[in-house]
Amino acid sequence: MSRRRAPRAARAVLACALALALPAGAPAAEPPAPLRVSAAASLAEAFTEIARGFERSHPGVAVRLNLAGSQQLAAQLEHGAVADVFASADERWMEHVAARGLLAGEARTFARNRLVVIVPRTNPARIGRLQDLARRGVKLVLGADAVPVGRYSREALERLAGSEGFERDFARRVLANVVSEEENVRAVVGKVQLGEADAGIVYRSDVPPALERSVRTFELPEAADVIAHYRIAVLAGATRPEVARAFVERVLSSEGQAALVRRGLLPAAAGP
Amino acid sequence: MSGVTPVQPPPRARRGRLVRVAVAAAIALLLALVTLPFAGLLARVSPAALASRLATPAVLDALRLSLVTSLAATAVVVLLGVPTAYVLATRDFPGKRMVEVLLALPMVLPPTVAGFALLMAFGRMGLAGQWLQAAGWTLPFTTAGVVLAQVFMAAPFFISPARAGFAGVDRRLLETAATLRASEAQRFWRVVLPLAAPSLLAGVSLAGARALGEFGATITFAGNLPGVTQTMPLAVYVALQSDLDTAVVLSVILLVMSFGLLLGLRAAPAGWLGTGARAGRPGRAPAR
Amino acid sequence: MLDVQVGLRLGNFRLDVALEAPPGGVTVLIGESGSGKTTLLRLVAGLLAPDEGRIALGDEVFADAGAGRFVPPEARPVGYVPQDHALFPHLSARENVAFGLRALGLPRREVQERAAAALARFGLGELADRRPHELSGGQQQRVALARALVLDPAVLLLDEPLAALDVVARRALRDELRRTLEGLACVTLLVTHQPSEALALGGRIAVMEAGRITHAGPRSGFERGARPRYLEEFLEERPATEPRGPLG
Repeated sequence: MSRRRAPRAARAVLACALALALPAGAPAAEPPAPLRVSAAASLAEAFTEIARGFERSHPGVAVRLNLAGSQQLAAQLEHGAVADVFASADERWMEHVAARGLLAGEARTFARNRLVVIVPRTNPARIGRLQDLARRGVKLVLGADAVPVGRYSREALERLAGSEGFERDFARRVLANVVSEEENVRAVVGKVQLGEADAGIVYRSDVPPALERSVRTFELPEAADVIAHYRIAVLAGATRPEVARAFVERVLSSEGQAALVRRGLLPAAAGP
Repeated sequence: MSGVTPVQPPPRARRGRLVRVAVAAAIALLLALVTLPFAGLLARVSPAALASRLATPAVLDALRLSLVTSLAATAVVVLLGVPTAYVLATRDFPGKRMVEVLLALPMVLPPTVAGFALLMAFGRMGLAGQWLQAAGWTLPFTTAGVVLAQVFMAAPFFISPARAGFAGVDRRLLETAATLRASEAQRFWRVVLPLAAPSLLAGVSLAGARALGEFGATITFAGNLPGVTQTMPLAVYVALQSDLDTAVVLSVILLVMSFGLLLGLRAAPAGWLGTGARAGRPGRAPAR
Repeated sequence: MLDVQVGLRLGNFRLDVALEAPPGGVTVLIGESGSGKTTLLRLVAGLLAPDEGRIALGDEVFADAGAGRFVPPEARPVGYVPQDHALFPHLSARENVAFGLRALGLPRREVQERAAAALARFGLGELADRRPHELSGGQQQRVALARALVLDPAVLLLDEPLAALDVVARRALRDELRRTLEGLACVTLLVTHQPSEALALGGRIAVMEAGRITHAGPRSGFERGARPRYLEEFLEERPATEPRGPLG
C-alpha cells in the first residue's frame, strides 16, 4: 500500500519543485538591470557617492561596484568577466585591457591623485621625516609592483633618491625595508592603521579626516610628487552601452568631479 | 522465434534499475565537477613552460617556503594535537564542550577573518603580541607568522580524526594491558598509538594539505613578501594577475603535491596493521 | 589464600561478597548474567575499587576501602583473561604473549625465551607469528591464557573462557582447559553461567545471585543433594553433558 503511494508522492514533490524553479528562470520583468562598474579600490567612497546620485537620476538602473586592485580587475576582464565600465588607477592597466580589444571607445582621464606616506599615530618606528624610511628595521608596507599605487610608490622613491636632502641609495634602502606587498591600496592602509606596519605609501584620498585619528601623514616634496592618472572607459562587453556611457559622462561631469574632490582626489586635468 | 514476446521486468525491478541509474548519474556528475578543473589546469601547462618556469626564483622561493612552513606547521599540530585529542577522547572535564567548539572554530572561520583575529592576538598591538614584542619577538611579516597562521587553520583537521581514532580504541584492550603490568604511558605507546595510527595519519595528511593550501589567514596576518612569506598559494594569487604561465606552473605543483600527500598517507596504514584488522574489532573466522 | 570481602554500589546494583579462594585449585563463580560475577572479577583485578571492605592475597593487600589503600591493576600479581580474549589485534601471537614481559622491563633475551616457552606449552609454536584475526577461537583463547600465565600470576581470573567459542570447540577445549588449570599453583577464579562447565572445571563452586554469594562449597556438594533454585532449573537431567540453547 505504501509502495503505491510513494511514487505518487514523489511525483507531486517533483512537480512542485519544478513549478517553483521555473519562474526564477524566466526573464525578470521588474528588477532594475545592473550596471557593473569595475573600479580601483581607492575609488570606493567617491564612486559609491556618484553611483547613488546616478541611480537617483536613472531609475531602473542599479549600479554594482566591483572594487579591487586595478591589476586584479584587468585580469578578471581579460579572463572573461562581464562588466560595463572599467575605472583604473593608472594608464598601464587600462592599456592592458585596451590592447586586448575589450574597450568600446577611448579611455579618458577622469581623476588624479597624489601620494602620501602614512605612519600609525603611535609611530612605533619614530619616523620624523621621509629620510627615516631608509633606516634599517623600519617595517614598510607597499602595494605590489603590479598594483598602481605600488608602481607609483616606487617611482616616487626613485625620484627622491639623489634629490635635495636625500641620499643616492635612498630608494634601494627603503625598498629593502618592505615587509609586505599588498594587492590593493586599502590593504596597505589597513596594515598601517592596525599598527602592524611602521609606514606605508598610499593615495592622499585614502586618508580622509576620519582616518586622521589613527595615522599621521607625510607629504612628498614637489620634485618627487608622482601624480596618479585615473582612466575610465566603457567596455565592449557592456550589456547596456548607452547607460554605461551615461555613467562615464556623470563621472566626468561637474557633479562627478565634485564628488571625487570631496573624497580627496584631484579633478581631471585639462588634457588626455 | 517471432512469436516470443519479451518479458517485461516487474515494476519493482524497473524502479530498482532507475534508482541505480540515478545514483550512477549523481556520482558521475560529482566526479566530473571535481576532476574537470584539474584536467583544465593540466591541459593548460606545456612541459616546456613547466620546465622553464620551474627554475625561476619566484617559483623556487615559493616552493621552498611552502615546504618548510607546512612541514613545520604539521609538526607543531601533531605535537600539540596528540595530547589534546587524547584528553578529549578519554576524559571529561568542566567546560569540555566549550573547548571542543573553540578547537573546531578555525575550520569554519573564513580564513581572512582568522587572519584578522590572529593580528588582534599576535600583532604588534595584539593581546599577546605586545608582550612578545617587548621580548623582541615579532610574528607578523615573518616566516614564523606563516607557520602560526597555518597551525591555526590546520589544527582542527588533525584533532578531529585523531580524537576519533583515540576514542575508537577498545577500552577493554587498555584494561587488559593494565592487567598485563603496563603503566599508563606504556598503554599509550604500545596499545593506543598503534591502534589509532590510521586515524592519526589521516589527520596528518588532512592537516598537512590544509597547511599547504593556506592563503587567507597567511596573507592577512603574515603578509606577502617573496622569499619570506609568499607561499605557493600566495604566489599563485599574485601571478594570476600578471604572469599566467607562472600561475599555472605553481598551481600544477600544488596540485601534484596535495594529490601525493593525500594518496601516500592513505596507502600507508593498510600495510601497517596487517590485513584488515581494526582496533578492537574481531577478525574474520580463520581456517582451522 | 585469596580473601575477598567487599561491598560495591554501581547505580542500582549492589554487590556484597565474602569469598575465600585457595591456591592450587579452581574456584568457579556461577550465576546468571547480571548477577555480578564479572564485577567481582574486575574488583579482584583492580579495574574497580570497592566502596567497602578488603581484597587481600595472604598478607598482600590489594584494596582496603577503610584504610584508603588501592593497588592499581598494573601492580597486582593478577592475570586476567577477559571474555572475548582481548588480544591485541596489531600484535602477533608471540608479541601478545610477550606483552606483559616487556611491560615489566625484563631483558630481551628473557622475554623471548619465556614467551617461546609459553607458546610451546600451549601448542602455539607454529602460529606464533600469526595475528589474532588469523587464529581460530580456540587458538585465541590459548594465546590469551598463555599471555596471562607467562607472567606467573599469583591469581588467575577467567571470565567465561569458553563463551566465545562455538559448541563443538567448546567441548574440546573444556577438557584441555581443565588439564591446564589443574596443574597451576596460583589461585584460579573462573566465571561461567553454565553449570556443566562449573561442574567440569571447578574444585569449589560459588553461586552468585543479585550481587551476593548464596551458596559456596566443594563441587561434590553440588552434584547431589539440595541444590539452589537456579541450579535446579539447569541441572534437570544431565549435569555433565551438552549445555542447552544457543549459548547454553
